[in-house]
Amino acid sequence: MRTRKFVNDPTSPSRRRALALARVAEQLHAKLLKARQLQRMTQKQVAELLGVKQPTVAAFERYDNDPKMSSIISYAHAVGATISMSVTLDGVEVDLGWTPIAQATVPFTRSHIAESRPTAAPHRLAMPMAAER
Amino acid sequence: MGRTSRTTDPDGAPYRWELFATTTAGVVENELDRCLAERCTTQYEYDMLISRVEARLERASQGGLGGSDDEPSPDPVVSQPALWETRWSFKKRRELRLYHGEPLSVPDLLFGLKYHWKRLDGLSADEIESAQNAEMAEAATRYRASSCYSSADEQPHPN
Repeated sequence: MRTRKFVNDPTSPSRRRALALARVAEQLHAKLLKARQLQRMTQKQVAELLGVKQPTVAAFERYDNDPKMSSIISYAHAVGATISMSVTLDGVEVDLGWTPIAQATVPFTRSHIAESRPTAAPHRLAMPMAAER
Repeated sequence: MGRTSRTTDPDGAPYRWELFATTTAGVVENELDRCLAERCTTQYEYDMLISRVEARLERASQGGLGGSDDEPSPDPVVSQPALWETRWSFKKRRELRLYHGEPLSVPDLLFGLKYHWKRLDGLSADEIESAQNAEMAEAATRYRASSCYSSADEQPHPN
């Protein structure tokens, strides 16, 4: 009988945490694709906004893609989506002790996002960005 | 054009996974364990990779592997009998594959048949393809030996 090199225990804390994280990754990717479809955008339109070719967007959307964070946020921005996240330890949110200023003052609504597409005037934050000061 | 995989069709979801097994052994379940044990160096890494496998299978069971309406659903990787491939790309050039069947007689079933690492290092393109074909042939043999299989599953274009 073969001796197992690793413990295959779906109930272990490590395993349950790993599955929760893996689900987040799958759902984040699937939701971003869904967001593009809900916005009735084509891959070509997204590619034009990002300054890349359509096959690059198609590659991003393949389920077996393992995208970098920078690609995720660029794609989200192009399809008019925002991403919220929560980092917890034992169910308690990790507190940085600070909050981004814009997050505290500007609600990103769906209509707001639609207006902020490149064809519309740039959105003005309640608090000017550093370059505008 | 071949059959559309259930894993890309959310309208018929949810589907359920079953893995090929004999009366005495969970063949495919053990195969995954062996694959991961072979390429993982720590328990944490094993836990993460097996969880990524599970999460993707969950997504597949919801018909969520297509996602894009710009591109057609992938054809079966084998047409007689029809078998599809689910892929995972892990760091360090580790490419895991699972072949599965979708028996016509069981409309909600995704039948897992064979896990394997796609061999990349030190092989020519022909050798990689040959090795992959051998894995697919083994998956097809297992499928034909299963009770959910019927001769209708040999037809590449039943629709």
